[in-house]
Amino acid sequence: MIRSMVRSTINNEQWYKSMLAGNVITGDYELIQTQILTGTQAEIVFSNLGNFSTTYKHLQLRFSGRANGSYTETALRSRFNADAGNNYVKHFLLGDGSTVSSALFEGTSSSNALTGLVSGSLATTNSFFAGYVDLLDFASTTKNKTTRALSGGTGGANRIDLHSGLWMNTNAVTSWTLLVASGSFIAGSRFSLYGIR
Amino acid sequence: MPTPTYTPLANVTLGSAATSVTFSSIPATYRDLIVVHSGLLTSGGQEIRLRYNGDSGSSYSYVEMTGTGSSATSSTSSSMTYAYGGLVYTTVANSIVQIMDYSATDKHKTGLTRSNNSANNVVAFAHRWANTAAITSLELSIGGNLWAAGATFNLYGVIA
Repeated sequence: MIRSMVRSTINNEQWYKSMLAGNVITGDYELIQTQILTGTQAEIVFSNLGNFSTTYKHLQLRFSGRANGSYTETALRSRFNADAGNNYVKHFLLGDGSTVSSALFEGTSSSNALTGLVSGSLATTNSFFAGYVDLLDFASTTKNKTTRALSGGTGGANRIDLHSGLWMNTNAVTSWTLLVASGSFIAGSRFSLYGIR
Repeated sequence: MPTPTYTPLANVTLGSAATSVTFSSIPATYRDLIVVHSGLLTSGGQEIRLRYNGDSGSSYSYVEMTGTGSSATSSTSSSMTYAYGGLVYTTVANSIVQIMDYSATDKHKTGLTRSNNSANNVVAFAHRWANTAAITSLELSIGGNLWAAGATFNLYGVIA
């Protein structure tokens, strides 16, 4: 399929051959499922991921999220294979507009991985924090699973964060659950899962 | 059945120095946009400025954190007439801007950038355009500076 797009201009309407657009679909990065909420929902679950264990090496989550808890923003938490035990480690590097900070949570106190931020009910109206999360080698049965994320937004709170997560389990990931500590995701929140070959 | 996605929409390579690049008539076919930039300036250093749909009002805000090799800092600003989408210097810098839910009409538009220049810093930005309209055009500009010939700008659409 050729879908020529789009007009691209460089300052004073100069045109270049390299502006010509093609629509090359490689099939190496593919949408598995999108969930766009039409009402509040406490958890987002992507299940049956075992069906994709031989098709893809890695997964990527892309999201725009907002929850109804009484905060400006809160952590987007992840659990794999519904494991709610203290089997996760998480680091973050956070810029809040004035300082940069970092912290580590692990072992006995961490029952989820930190995979981003979503805005809350105290954030500016229509502000949805966003992010994308890579889950590497999700189908491996010989290594623990790691995630990395970039997330943030502005409006009520200003945050830009880098996150890493570790699930201390060598099982292949067959489900991915997203949740917040308190409250539910609101309508309009969007979570899309992609497979990478 | 998984859906193929991540589609190149337009590629620009500067044949001569330029102050801005605009992608227009962006279709609403996709959910996210990704801009990949690699280039350098003819002089100085400058934030990449983003504007959507030609909006030059005070509709933009950003927050960033920067690591210079010796310190880490963070800054923020609101009511700006453009958003920041990366940094460029006289040595090659790379920026990848992820514009989430650009075609949605029920939310402000949030973008995330990772930008790096090995001679200066590594930076991450979040920005917001306080407008619920779908994005149909995107301008990248560089203030009073010039991108040198050879700078590349690649626009991708991601289906969701």
